[in-house]
Amino acid sequence: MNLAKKISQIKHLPLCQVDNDWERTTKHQLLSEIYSQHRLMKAHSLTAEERFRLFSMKITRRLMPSLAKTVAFLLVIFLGSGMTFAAQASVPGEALWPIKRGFEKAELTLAVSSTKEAEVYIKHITKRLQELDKIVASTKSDPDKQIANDKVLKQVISYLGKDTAAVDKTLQIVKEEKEAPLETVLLAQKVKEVANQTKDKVIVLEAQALTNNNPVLEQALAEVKTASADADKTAVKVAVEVHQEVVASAAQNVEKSTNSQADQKQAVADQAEVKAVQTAVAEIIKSEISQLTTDIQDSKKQAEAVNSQVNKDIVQVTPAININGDVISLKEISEKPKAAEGKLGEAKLLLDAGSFKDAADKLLESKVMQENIGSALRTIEKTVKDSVNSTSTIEQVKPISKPTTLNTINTASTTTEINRAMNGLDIQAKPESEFLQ
Amino acid sequence: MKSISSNLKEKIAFLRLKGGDSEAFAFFYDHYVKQIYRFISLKVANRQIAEDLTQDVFLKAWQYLVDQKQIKNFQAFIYRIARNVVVDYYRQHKAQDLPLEDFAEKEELSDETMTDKIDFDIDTEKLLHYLQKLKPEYQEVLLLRYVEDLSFEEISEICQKDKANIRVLLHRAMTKLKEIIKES
Repeated sequence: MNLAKKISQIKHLPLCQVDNDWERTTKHQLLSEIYSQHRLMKAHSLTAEERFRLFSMKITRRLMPSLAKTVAFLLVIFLGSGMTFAAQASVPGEALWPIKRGFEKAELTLAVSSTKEAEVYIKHITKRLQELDKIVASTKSDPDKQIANDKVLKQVISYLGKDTAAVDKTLQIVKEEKEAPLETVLLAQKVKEVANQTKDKVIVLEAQALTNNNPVLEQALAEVKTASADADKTAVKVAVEVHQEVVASAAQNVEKSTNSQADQKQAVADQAEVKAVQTAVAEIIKSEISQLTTDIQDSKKQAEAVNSQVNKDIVQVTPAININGDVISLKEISEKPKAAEGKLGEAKLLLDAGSFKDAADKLLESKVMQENIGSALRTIEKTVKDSVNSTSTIEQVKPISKPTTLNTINTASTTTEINRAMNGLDIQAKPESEFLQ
Repeated sequence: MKSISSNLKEKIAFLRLKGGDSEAFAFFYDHYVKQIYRFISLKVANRQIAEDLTQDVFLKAWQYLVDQKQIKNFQAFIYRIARNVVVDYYRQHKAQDLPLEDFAEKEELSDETMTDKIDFDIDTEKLLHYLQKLKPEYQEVLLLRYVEDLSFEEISEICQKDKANIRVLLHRAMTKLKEIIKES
């Protein structure tokens, strides 16, 4: 093959192949960014008269007949009370499900502002969570339906993921459009609440999927978990940024003000707005602290449980962990949540001092640590569980007295799995044999 | 090479794009993302970095349009942004290996078809490695010509050099690459 043709073969190398998921995600992100920039740009460049005209056109456009709007309107009016009410409780696979979805799409189409759109998405997320409850209850009452229900579950989880990602993006757009600050912060609060509810639900379902050994469902749930974590982060970030903007704007107005009555009234209004936004943002951060405190406590308990299980069941697999030259036991993993707790303590102090931005930053650091700990513990738990369930040779092997007895057990894969889990905590696990003399 | 209908679609989308139509942007994204990603990934040799830089390229392209600067040819425009983004990345990270500049350049311009007669039995990944040892402008012209299948005219618009220079550059790039391969 000549050199030119050889060079053309380079395009087939794996490095040159675009990852489809990345491509889709990036497109979505770029278009959201572009869309919000575009709207902002248009808003900034308009005169007051043009803005009024645009606003009234927006309302008229939303009410003017178009095919989609007409269908949406008909669905709302004619199917409004009877059928859609009956459809509210339906799940995928049931006869009324398409009507329910049609009604939901109509609601989105008729939303007159980005804030309303976000509220519609929040409503849809709540419905998805109710549907998940219904499907899980149905499986419990009739275990034979599990396989069919798993498919339905996956579908609902997929919709949940999309709605969660959509509410995240819409909240960002609301922030960029610089709507009423208090309204934006209250919306962020609602987004945070629904993101937390989603996360809690996903954790329960993840545990079930793990028990039932359903990796497809685990994967789908992991995506929703990521989406809800992102929405949660966005909500806190938006709230803190709006607070900063409101404070800065009030300070600017104070600098520019004269002693006129109008300026004094404005100053009073600004102060009231700052106080209201401050209260709402403080609530959001407090709720975040409370949630994280619970998560860290749960991690501590989980670490202790994993530790005791490892000691009880598979003594041979217990790795000696090498952290920067110091060898410590798995037991000491329970110390890791303390570091996250430390950051949380700092966040509380900063919140009390009124430094919301710094408090939010510390919270984020603590959250990242906590997520790493949680993920490492889950992997260790799973690995330990797999080891217990795998072969009968494990039951026959006696507790270690000499390193050579380790040869009878396949520790390599277990240690590798634990290594991967530990890497999230920046520590390396090695088989005990490497450290026994 | 593009067909007439795809050229026409691109022209229509380009007119809409200049008007700030975000759907037209989506059209160009779908059309060019793979090429731009490939172009960048072959230069930086890292998937994560290539993905980040590709995203930057499209964002910058949009920003350029928003600033209402004039663009005649979207393909040339986006490749130029890609080149600049990679150069900025190298400046910030100083990650690029210095190219092998000590090979003497051959001045004679033998017929390009001579390269067709030489057979190189070489692994594609190794070939990429050798390619990455070339000067950036040599890498670019080889990638654009043989990997992206662009014409001399298209390459000249991207690199902002005339067609004759591009032909010379391509010949020199091939010669140097062969020397590197033989030396290795």
